Amino acid sequence: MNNRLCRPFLVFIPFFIILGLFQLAPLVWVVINSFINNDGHWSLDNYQQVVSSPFYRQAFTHSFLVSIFSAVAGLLIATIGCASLRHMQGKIRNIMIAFTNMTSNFAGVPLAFAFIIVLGFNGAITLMLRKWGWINSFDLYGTQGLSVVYTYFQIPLAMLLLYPAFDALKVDWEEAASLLGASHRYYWQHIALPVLSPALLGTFIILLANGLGTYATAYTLTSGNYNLVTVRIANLVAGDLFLQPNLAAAISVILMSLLIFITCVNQWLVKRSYHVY
Amino acid sequence: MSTKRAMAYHYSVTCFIYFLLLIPLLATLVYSLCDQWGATILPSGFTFKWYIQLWTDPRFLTALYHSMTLAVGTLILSAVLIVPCVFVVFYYYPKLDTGLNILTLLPFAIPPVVSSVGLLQLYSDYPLLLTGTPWILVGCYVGIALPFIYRAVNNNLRALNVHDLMDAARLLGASSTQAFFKLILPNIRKGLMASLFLSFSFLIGEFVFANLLAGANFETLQVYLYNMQQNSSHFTSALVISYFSITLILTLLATRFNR
Amino acid sequence: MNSVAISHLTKRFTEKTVFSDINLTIQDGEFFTLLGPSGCGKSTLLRCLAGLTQVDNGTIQLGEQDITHLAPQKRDIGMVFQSYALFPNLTVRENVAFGLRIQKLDTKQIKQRVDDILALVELGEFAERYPHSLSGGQRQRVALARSLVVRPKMLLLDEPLSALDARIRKHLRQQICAIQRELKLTTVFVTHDQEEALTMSDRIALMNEGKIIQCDPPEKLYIEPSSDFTARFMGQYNVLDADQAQQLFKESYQGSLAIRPESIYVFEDNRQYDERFSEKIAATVKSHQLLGSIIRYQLIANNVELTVDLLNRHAERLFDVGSELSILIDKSAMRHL
Repeated sequence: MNNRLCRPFLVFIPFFIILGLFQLAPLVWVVINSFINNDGHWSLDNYQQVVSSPFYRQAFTHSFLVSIFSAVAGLLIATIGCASLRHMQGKIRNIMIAFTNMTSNFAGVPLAFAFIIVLGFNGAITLMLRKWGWINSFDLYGTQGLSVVYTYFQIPLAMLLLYPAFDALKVDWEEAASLLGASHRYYWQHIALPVLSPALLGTFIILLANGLGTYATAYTLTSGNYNLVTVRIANLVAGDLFLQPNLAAAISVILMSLLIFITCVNQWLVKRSYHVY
Repeated sequence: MSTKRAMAYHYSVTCFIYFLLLIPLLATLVYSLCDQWGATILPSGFTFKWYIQLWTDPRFLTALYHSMTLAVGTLILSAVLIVPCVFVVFYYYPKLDTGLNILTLLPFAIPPVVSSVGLLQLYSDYPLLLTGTPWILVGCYVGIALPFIYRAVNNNLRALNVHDLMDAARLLGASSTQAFFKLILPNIRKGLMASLFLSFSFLIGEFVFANLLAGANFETLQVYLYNMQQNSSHFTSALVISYFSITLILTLLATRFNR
Repeated sequence: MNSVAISHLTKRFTEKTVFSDINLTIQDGEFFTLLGPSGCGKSTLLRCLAGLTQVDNGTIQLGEQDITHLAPQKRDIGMVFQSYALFPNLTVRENVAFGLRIQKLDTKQIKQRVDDILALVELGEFAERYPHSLSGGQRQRVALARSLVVRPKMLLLDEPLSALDARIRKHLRQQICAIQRELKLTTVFVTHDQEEALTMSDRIALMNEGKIIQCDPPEKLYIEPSSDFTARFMGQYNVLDADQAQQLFKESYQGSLAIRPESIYVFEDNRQYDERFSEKIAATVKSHQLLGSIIRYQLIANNVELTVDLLNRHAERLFDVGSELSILIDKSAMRHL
């Protein structure tokens, strides 16, 4: 018994060594060192510095602003898109899904470049919109621009995550509702959206985490000039000026704690929403 | 009638969303193929010169080589490490599945920037001087590939009736290890390959670790792309399109394998 | 009153005509069944009545009103689906109250009517449960209550029993009939099960390949099939062509002949047979099958294979395979097709 069940255990050893070295160890280091100040003593100095600094508070505000906006906008567009995509013919639908899959990989540095071409100061769309008088200027390198770029990469991700959930909506339900006198709108409000709500909430959290953790896109687009949490962390460990890894660790821990908190609220909402079949 | 109106609505919504998603790609494609496109809405002068310039740049070819070898190496290592673990958990210790599942979510929960904070401090000194080498990237990338491989292998095993297969193989005289290699592995090969292709496109798209941990010492495609931003944007467009074509081919291969 | 008149109704999908030129009238309060093999167009016809599928041609009249192009919301028609189609996010009570909420009735009235209808389907104690915690039969009764509580002019039942297991099916069958008769509700029932159709309906329309083959009360449909399709579909009818009939009876026949398996008798010495019966015919038992109260034999008589049903009454009636016996056929129960 012992021998038979112990031998398979050996395959875990190399796996856990790699995972421990590159996933867990850095995490443990971050958590421990966030509580160690410049003199090498246990303290909350790093946290105090983050909380009391308007500069770091601004980074958090910006990160959440852009992430929440892009998550909500991405989710909204993806929900409308998935609802319509379901009505496409099988072949067209498969091509669309493959395309979504592909664009979900289009993020980071190349995406930033593409947006500079399209929506930069002399971008084709910027010029077009300016000519039509819709906008005076578009600031791709500020909150406005980042929100648009973030939304762009959230849409395909949200569609990939949401689309399977739409399969749970049965055609019979809408037909039954319509025979009982419900309009299309009433059906969506009282049946479809409540049924989808766990998937919508779950997708929202993933999008939010995705937005908060994004670094490459913003870094390329603004050369690190836009104040975001990830940009601050990276600057503190790999910037040109003096490095403060322990301060970066404290910011990281705050960021992750906020994420965990939101996830817990979300789980609580999902549990309350309704009982799955 | 109402159903026709509804279909018209669905078609226009889908087309509009996909048009939005296509714009940046199309613009980049056009940009990479024209001579000049500044301060005007429409481009001028069709040319391939940016592609020729790119594909003859030795620095680009080195970066491409770096990215490719790094991704392939990582994936081979990942498959060797992860597949047996998933199988052992599935077959011998199903109770550990929840734990493994949480482990696979870690790379999603911890932004790469945060991991980098710890990695830079832990591996910048002897005896484990790893930063600036590809080896630290290999270690990090195994974590990125883990969720994809885990999901694919786990789903395949679920569909396979592993317990009956293993029992049958053992009754016919095969050892558990033999049964795994001769029976289980060939049966999950397709799903595994698909997940490897998917991870591949993720890995060559990785920027944060590559830039922060290896940087100029081991320039990957993404870091090269970033460093080229001072160049003509026509050139970088050609670079974006070349990069995107590579991922496109890989996604297509992945879907082909998934059938 | 709530009678239904369907005239010249036609439905085509891109290439295929589902049904064409259907004419039917359904009486007020009638339990009307559309019976037929799968793909015969019966479900599509039902969906056209509900307004869930658009018709290409023809009209549907409900009472005084032409409802051919009316939206399903405005038809006052209740429907029960094979898949129950209960809303998973709502409790039993909320599911049943759904239609009443849309009619904006006041809360007290809604509660009263929901309680009444749940009592009628014997589900009062399950009011606060969610659909996923109910059994199939209970779910279908909730679906029935949900469509009845709005007091529709007509009730449509789309194979409501086929997802249930045999015992619950029989019980629910009786319950549906009892409720329908109590409410005197015009009902259209779709099924592929001839036994279900025979036991429940006032009238049955037998459909095949988009056409109504025969439309009659159950007894007539069973006893007087007008075509060889009806004869084969309605029971284990022995359908013989002219040659086979001639071979069996040693007389010449025109057209084919349908003989019900229970109108063939085994000859008994001490019984009197009047002129309804044919001459004695010698037969051999090929196989037998015990179906509970009846035993079904395959016999060979004059080289013609016949299905014969005998009541499982006397032990001596269980004839072994290969045994020789004499049969008589009740000629008055034979149908010339």
